[in-house]
Amino acid sequence: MDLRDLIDRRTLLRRASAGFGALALQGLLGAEARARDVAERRLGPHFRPRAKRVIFLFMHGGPSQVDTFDYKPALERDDGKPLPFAKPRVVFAETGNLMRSPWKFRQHGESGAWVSELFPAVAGEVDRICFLKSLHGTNPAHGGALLSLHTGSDTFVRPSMGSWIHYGLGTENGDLPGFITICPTLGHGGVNNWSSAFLPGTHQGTPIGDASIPAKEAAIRHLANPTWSRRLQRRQLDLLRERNLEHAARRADDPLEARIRSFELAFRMQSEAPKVLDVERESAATKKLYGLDDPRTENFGRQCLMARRLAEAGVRFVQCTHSYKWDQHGALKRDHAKNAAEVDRPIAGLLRDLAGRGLLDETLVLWGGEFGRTPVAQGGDGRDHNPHGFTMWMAGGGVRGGMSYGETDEYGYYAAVDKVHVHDLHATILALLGLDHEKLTYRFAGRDFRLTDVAGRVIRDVMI
Amino acid sequence: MDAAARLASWSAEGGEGEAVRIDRLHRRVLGRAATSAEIARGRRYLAEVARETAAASDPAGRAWRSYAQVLIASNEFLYLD
Repeated sequence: MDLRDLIDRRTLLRRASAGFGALALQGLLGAEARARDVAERRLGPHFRPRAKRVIFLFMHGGPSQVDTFDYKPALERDDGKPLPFAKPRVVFAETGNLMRSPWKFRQHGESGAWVSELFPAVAGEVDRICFLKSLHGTNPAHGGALLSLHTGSDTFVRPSMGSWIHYGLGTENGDLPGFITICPTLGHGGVNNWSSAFLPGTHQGTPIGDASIPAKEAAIRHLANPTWSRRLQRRQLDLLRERNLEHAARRADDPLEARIRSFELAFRMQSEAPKVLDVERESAATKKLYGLDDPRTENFGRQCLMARRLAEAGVRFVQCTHSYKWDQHGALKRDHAKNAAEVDRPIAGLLRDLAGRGLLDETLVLWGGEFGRTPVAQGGDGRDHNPHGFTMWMAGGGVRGGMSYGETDEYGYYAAVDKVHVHDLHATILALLGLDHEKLTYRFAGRDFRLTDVAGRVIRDVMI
Repeated sequence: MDAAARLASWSAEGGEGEAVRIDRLHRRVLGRAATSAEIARGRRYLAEVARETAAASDPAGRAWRSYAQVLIASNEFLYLD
C-alpha cells in the first residue's frame, strides 16, 4: 500500500471541516459538565431579565423603511422633487430626486401603527410590535453593515451578539448548541457574523444550512452515525476525550477545549437535534400558520418554525436569515413585493404561535436588515443603501407592544428624533435579557471588550 | 472512516502483535512513539470494542478501525503546535 494514500493532515482537515467536525462547533463535557455549563458559565443576569432568549429575523440586503413601516406623507407629496437638504457625504451610488413609495399605507390595530400593503399579515400583529424608526449605523456597504449589526464592529473581528448573549447567560439546554443560525449568508462577513472571535469557542454560533440551501434541506450535517452504535461511540469518545485532555493539559489553548466539548455536544445532539429540527412533527394548522402550505412562504416559514422549536427547546439565540434578497437598487416594485410576500405570513405566524404558547413574553423577536434604503431614487425604480435612518422592530421579551420609538426626518432619510444607534440596539437587547452591556466584558489583548465597545444607550422607553 | 479503515489495515501489514501495531499507528499519525500507557489503554480499548461487536462480522477489524479513527480525530493530530 502506498503510504501517501493513507491520509494527510490537509485532507483530513478539509474533510473534517465538512464532516464530523461540523456536527457542532461547541459543546460540553458529559452530564456533569452540562450542569456546569448551565450554571457556572453564566455570568449574568445582572438584573431582572425580561426576555430569556432571542429570535432574530434578519432581512439581508436592506429593506426599505419608507416602503414598509416608516410612513412619510411628505415623501408622497414631494415625489419627484429634489431632496431639500444635503445627501450624506459618503454614498454607495448616485441617486436622484425623492421617490414616493409605490405601496399604500394604512393604520392598523389599536395602536394605529402605519404599515404598508407589503406586510398585510404583520400589520395584523402591530399591537405586539415596538417599531424602532430611528435606527442608524455608519457603514453604507453590506459587509461592514452586517458585521456592525451582528458584532458591533465593522473594523475588527468581534464576537457576535449571539455569542455575547450565550457567554452572558449560558444555555438552557445542554443537548443543543446555545446559539444557532439558520441558513445564514456566507457573504458579507460570513462566518464572522456568528463567530465568537476571542470569546471561548463554545460560544460560537452553529449554522444549520446556509443561504444557498433551501430550509427544507438545511440540517446539522452528519447527525446520524451509520457506522458505530451509541455504546461504541460513547466508548470511542471516552478514549478520544482522555487523549485530548492529556494533550490539552500540556498546553493552554482554548480552541482545544472547545473542540473536546464539540464532540460531546455532537454526541448528545444525535438524539435531541433531529427531534427539535423536525418541523414535520407540527400539526397541519401550525404549518399553515407559518405558510408552509404555499411555495412562496414555505422556505422562510420553515426557518421560523424551526426557530420556534429551537427557542422552545431552550436555545438562547436563534437567527433566521432571509438572504440576500432586499437589495433593490432596481426593480424595487417587483422584488420588494416578492420579498415581503415570502416573509410576511411566516413572521406573523411566528408571533402568533409564540404568543399562543405563552413563549412570546419571554422571547424577544427582532426584525430588520443591516440598513435601510434612500427615500431618493436610484434609477427609476430603485433605492440605494441608507445606514443613516432605518426601521427595525422588536416584539415580545419585555418590549412594549403597539408602540413606535424614534423618528426619521420628514422624508425618512436621516434618523432625527430619539436616535437609536446599532450600539444602542445592542445595549437594549442585552438589557432586556438582564445583562448590563457595560458589565458584560471579556478581557482580551490587554483590555476589557464589550459588545457595545465604549458606546451604547439602553432605550428604557421600549421596555415594559 | 475510509482513512481510518486504510490506516487500520496498513497497521496490520507485517502482522506483528497489538503493541507493535499501536506503536506503528502512533508513529504514522502523530510522528512519535506510543507511550506504554497508551499501548496498555489501546489494548484495553481494542478488547472492549471487539467484545462489544462480537456479534458483527470481523469484530477485531472493527475495533482497529474505531481505534484508528480516534487517532485521526485527536487534537494532537489535527493541530500543530
